[in-house]
Amino acid sequence: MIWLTWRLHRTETLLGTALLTIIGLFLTITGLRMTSAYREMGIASCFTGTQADTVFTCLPLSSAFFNRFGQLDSMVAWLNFLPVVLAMLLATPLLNEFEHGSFRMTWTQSITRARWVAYRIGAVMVMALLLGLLWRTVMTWWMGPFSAQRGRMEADYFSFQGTVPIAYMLVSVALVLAAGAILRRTIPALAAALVVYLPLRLGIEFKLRPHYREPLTAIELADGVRAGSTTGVGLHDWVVTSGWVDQLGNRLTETDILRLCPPDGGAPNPAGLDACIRARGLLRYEEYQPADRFWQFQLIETAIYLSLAAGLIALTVWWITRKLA
Amino acid sequence: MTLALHADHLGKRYGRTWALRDCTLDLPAGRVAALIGPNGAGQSTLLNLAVGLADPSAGTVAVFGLSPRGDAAAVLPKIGFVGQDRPLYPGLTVAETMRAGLMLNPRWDADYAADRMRRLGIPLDRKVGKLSGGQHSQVALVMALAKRPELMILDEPVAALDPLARREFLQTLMEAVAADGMTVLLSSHIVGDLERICDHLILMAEGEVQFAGELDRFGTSYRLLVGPRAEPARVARVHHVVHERHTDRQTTLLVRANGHVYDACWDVREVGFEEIVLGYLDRGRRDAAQAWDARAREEASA
Amino acid sequence: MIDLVLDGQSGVAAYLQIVHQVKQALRLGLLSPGDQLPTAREVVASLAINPNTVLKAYRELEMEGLVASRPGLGTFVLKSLAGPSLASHAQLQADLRRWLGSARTAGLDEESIHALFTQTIRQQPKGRVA
Repeated sequence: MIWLTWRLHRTETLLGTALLTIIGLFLTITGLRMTSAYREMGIASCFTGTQADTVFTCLPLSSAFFNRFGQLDSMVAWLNFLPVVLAMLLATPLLNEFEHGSFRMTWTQSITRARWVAYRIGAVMVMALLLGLLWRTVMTWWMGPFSAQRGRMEADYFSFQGTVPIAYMLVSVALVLAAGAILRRTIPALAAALVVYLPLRLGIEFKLRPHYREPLTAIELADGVRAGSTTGVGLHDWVVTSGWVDQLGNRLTETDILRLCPPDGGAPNPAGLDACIRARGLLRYEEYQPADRFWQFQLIETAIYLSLAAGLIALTVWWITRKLA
Repeated sequence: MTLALHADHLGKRYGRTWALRDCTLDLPAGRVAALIGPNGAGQSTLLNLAVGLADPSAGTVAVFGLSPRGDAAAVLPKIGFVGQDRPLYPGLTVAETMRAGLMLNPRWDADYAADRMRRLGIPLDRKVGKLSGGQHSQVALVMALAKRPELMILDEPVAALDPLARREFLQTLMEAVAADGMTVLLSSHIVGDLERICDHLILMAEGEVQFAGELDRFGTSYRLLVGPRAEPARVARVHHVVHERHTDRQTTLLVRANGHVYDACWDVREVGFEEIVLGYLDRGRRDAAQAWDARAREEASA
Repeated sequence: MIDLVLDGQSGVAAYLQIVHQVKQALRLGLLSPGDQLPTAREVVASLAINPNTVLKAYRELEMEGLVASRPGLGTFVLKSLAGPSLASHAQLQADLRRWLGSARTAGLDEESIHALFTQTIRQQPKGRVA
């Protein structure tokens, strides 16, 4: 069974290896460039301090770094698709087997259904786990300079580090397998998995993640003078929402602001708006998730995805052993 | 007498439809049995249940006394299966497919497999997806035969083959029967083939078994009675009327005769195997149509 | 070794066809005492028929005393039907020649003679005439 599993996955394994090699080369080259720039531009020595204030004196250096490498930072967003692509490569041989009915040959060859499921699905999930680990390790290294400056809580910095990349990998594969077992057609199954995964992933990241715990609120101090930050929220913390409050602590909406400080003339005037807000004694507030909640959040999100993966795998196994003929 | 296959009130339902219903039959070991019926009569379902690819919705099925699903590890090595689509892996070469057989089965006659491929001229390094229909069927057949199974189950294995490929397929199959005393259960529409190779017959129609027994018993006692338009009641008292057909002037009866037919109003004729089979199948369809009509009338009056 | 064929359309049972062909081979001298008949496996591999059919045919031949089966070795010819048997029917052959002459005179061609012969043989009940 082991030889057969390898043989059936051979083509996709080679394709996947080629893809990973190309991406790996790209990440290695750019990552090395960034780490050396991080050192040479003096940012590394600047950020070794943990004092929140001194950190903010490094901001100009930081801006220079981000000006130089900002593009890479945004390109990384595309790599969110990698788990799905890898999942498709891992699962496609199985999907083809469902579509062509080839599994019936193995099922009538003295291999019981249970053993077949254990081998094939087991092999795929183990590979997914290993790939997830590899992926997470490479990205954590690559993002080092970025996270040292901007923290690990936000968006892609969160999604590519910690334990969640592994969970994404497992869920992607579980989705493709479930779709393949139920739909029995490879291309529709791949499409269905994609159609489910994207909203799921985005939904959890943007709607659920900010609320895993009640965010902390920081209000600008009355004297208005700050060393860099108006509210005391650190660079590594994740600002979830922000706005203005009045002296009594009531939060103001956009319409409220416009009512209190109407723009004179037609053109928007940020300096004038700012002056008006100050004159009225309004203060800035920020709701944020502190950086020390990183691992808590990682575990919560990993748990969500792992339960999904487990549920999907259970469904797939049940479907194959009970319903498939 | 060992029973290669035993079904007891076996049934299978897909959703609301019963694909197979109340099927009870015995297949003694060593027989070559034909499973005949119109499309959708439940043959594939029965074969899938026998092999353990499907689970019964009602009743039981046993292969050499064991359950194909429950005792799969013990039963599967004894069964060879060639399904309707003759499942194989299109991406593997013939040699790799044989290797898979070696790795997946406790007992595998690699020499036999290689010898058959050589005799049939099938190249070992050709991908299975690129083989001709006849070659594909032969590879699927050998994959099942090289296990040295005790029971071979085939679901319309020769349907898509040209006459020469069909003949070669049956030659391979029968040679294995002669060598090992293997039991065979095969469904097919090609009555001529079945007459040559089978000694046991199972007729199905509308998801039910219409006849199950030895082919010898089947053929010799059937007669076609042709006469002026009449009801079969008198004949039916002595003989078993399988099928009746009436025009406004003439009646034709297919009977399984209990002894000689003495009734003088009927012209007694011999009848061929295919005609007998068709008579049973048509009756099955008629019975089902009548039952359907009766139900429709009930619903209309209710 | 003889080669057996099967006529699926003839209406004659397969095993009987085999019996007839073996007997014909014996008559024509293609098989002599001591020769081995093809094994069931060989016949089945070339004709694609049920092995029991072959075994039934061989059993029939054995009952008529023409062959004997040796377990593990095969089935072997015991008696020949050629030569002397035909020769001993010299009288029959002479009658036949005379009849053929009359048939030709009556205007029957070879095909009609065959048809007449076949039809008469079929109508004749099998076995000995009382």
